[in-house]
Amino acid sequence: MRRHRAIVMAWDLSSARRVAAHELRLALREGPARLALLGFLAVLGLALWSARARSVAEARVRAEFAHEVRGEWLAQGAVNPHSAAHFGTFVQKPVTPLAALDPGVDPCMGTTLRLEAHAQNDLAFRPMADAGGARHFGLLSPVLLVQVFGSLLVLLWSVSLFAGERETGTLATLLVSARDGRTLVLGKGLALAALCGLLVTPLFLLGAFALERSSDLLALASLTLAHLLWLAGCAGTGAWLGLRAGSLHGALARAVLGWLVCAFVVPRVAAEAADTLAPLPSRAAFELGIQRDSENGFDGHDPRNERRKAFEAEVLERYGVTRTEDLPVNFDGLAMQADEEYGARISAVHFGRLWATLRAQERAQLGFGLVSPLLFLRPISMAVAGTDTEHFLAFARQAEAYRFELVRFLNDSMARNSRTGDWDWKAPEDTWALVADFRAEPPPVSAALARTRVAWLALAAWCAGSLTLATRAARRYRP
Amino acid sequence: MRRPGECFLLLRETPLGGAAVLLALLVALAAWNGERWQATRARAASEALAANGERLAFIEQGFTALERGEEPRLDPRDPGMASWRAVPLLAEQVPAFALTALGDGDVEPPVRRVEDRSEASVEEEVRNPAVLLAGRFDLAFLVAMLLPWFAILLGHRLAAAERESGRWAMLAAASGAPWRVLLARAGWILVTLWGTASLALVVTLLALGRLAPAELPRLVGWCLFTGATLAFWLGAMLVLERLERSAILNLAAASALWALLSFGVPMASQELLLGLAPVPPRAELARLARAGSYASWERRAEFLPELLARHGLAGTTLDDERRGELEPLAYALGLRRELEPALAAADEARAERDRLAGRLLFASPSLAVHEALLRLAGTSGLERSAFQDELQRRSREREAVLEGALLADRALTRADYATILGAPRVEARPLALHGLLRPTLALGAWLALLFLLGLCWPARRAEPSRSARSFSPAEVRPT
Repeated sequence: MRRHRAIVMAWDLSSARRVAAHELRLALREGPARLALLGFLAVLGLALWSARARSVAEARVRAEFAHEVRGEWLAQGAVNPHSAAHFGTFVQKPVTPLAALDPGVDPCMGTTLRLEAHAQNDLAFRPMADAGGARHFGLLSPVLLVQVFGSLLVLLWSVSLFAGERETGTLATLLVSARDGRTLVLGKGLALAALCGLLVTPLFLLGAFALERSSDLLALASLTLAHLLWLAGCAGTGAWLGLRAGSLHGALARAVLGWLVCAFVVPRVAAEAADTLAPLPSRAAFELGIQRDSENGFDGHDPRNERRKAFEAEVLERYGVTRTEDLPVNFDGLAMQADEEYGARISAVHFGRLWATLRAQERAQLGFGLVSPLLFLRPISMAVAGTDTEHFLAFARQAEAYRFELVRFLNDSMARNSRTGDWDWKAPEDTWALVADFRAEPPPVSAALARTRVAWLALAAWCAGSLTLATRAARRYRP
Repeated sequence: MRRPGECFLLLRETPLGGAAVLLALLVALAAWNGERWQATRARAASEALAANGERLAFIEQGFTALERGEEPRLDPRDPGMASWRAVPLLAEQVPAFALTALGDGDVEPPVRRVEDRSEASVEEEVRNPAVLLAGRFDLAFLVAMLLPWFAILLGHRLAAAERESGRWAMLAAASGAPWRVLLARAGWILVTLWGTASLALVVTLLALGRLAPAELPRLVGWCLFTGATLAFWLGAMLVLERLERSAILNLAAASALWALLSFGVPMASQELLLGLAPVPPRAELARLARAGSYASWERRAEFLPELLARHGLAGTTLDDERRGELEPLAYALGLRRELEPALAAADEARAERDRLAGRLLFASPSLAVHEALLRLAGTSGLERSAFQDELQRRSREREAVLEGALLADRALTRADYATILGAPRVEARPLALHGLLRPTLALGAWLALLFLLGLCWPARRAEPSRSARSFSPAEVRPT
């Protein structure tokens, strides 16, 4: 009995494969479908080529920039270390190989940060600001094409696969020639799965081509899987619409309308709603907050500052002297460092609040995924590509730690090697080479996966739900 | 239009009424969201001006202290001190109609520091990059990207539905010219959607208290461009109908056309702009400014003789104190000299990008309409350039006063500060009709192309189906 059942299953699968092959042949034979598929693949190919070319060009510009910045740092000559701290440096967020596929928020945030004494700077230099008016239509990326237009192709084809048979009256014949309705549905499902695979394959191939480390393979696999889940969910939704449809045209119109709402309206409305629900401070208010706290804080440059006076008394007591001139170290260097530490604490509080608001906004956006599951996919895609906001915040934290250490090194150098009040003292030229270059370490992919677990679960649940709905509707798939 | 009965038919047979209600809601939502953005920007500007007002309070406090015969903490008469402490801010005023198109208002700050370009720091508003990435839900987006779908979904089966239901022959027999009936139907759709969108905007503006008489030309322009957009897409549907294909194929072709014109071309134009007219990255300019600033400070003594010669003071002998007062001016001169080539190159690159972007408006009606709406709203690149020019003019005025006072060794007065600080806001520019010329020409060219296609594209002769052809009387005629 078991053997017999296995034979029947094998036969069913083989029939389903034949149905799938037949559907694919038919689709490729039909002019409009073939045109749409080939057009999409051509545009995707162009986008991939453009993304690759852009990432190569940007890598060159970034390398030149880093080289120039390092050269300027090393070529300062003999200057006072605190002047060097004010001169500061620039650091760049590392670009992951998958950023070519999904640039994420890179164009909206900028990838360069200015580091200098006394201030933690926010990320600036947004490339988007120079992109011109066309940026309002969206920023081109290979994943965007798959997310938006790939889903449209899958949706429309799945609707027409099921509703079309009923509309043209071929369903009855097919049900007779196929062993049962389920084989027919399974075959069409396999054809849809092949289409989803075909649409995602170019992403995977370019990603694999760009990989630099084996650990990136997990990120690429996750990116591909997330897009497959998304397309499978779209296929399930389209199949459900097609299976229940009274007319092909009505089902297609509903599918297009739903796609339009999910891909274009809800993401923008969600962004605006998030901005309203968790408003960010203006730049002026943010800086004023830091400035007010700093005014009541430690000012290393102002001898009349109360906290500086208290610190001076403490240092004099520690060294057992009565005048700063008698100290074996330069008090100005110590005061600058105390100023830096106080300022870093103030910045940590204010930036912490700012970043908490950014996270609250992103949670609010994710909530709209219940209306448009695309909002579950996007955070996953950006997170595994290393281009989401969390990667920027991780970079900003590392850059701030580097800045703090850099300034401490310079203030220590001043304190140890010169005397109080000697602002003309200059550190030797070889001092600057002792400062190591900044190396940011992006968070591991596992952290990105853990952080986006809610989005993963929601995307998988939506995909499973739409496929279940389609499967249930398939039971009533009759002429 | 001569057939009001068609309107009732449309209302009965298509979801025209529902679409009109939905459109009105979307227009109101987009306008309200635009108002929210403008309120946020106005608040940010007020906060920045208030914060700067606090920073500038030392001027009045100083003069008051001097009048009382007291020693001020910071002497407002000192031009050297004023040059780095009395930096005013300038806020950009936008017309009330700016709520219809936000333009770069989401990335550019509403206020800028009035200072020499060579010293200009990067000022960017605090924004969530994930929110920026999604794009804005404003009326420009609604009209350029969503409104076409109302025309597509309502207009893609004007004739196809008649053909598919077998009423086409009856319509032809009854009216004699069925295309006139279709034109009337398209006309009614146009009038309904156009009237709804315009009315909804007027009502929302009235509700928000933003409909001033001065805004009427902009409102009229908005209505005209919205009508032209609808006319273009409904015209495209009529041209597609001339091919006498099925409603499904019409829908597919219209979707592809929309994807091409509202998505593909704008994105491709961005790529073209990036490739053909790249603008130097902001981070690179910031790096040059930092390096130039330090180099000029080191070489300030070299520029001092040139500065004196420029003001007819060549050969003047300066004591150390006077030299110290004038060195900052020499530094500023050196900095300008240092950065001028890079800034000029950046200006040239931006101008080239704007020229190319202007030409690319002809590539897509959606791009043309979007740009027209930005210009009507007073938030396009033209207004940004005008604001930059005003900033530079103010900066030059401020520098002239400070330089004159420093070189003449003259104390600053309250009247000087009136010039240095100036009015904190720049009034919104009136609507410049010449700015609308290019988008109008571009949209006009697309409408003309459509008209020519409609006139010249021969309607496909309705071919009978294959089965009908097999049994045509001609073939069964006895020989």
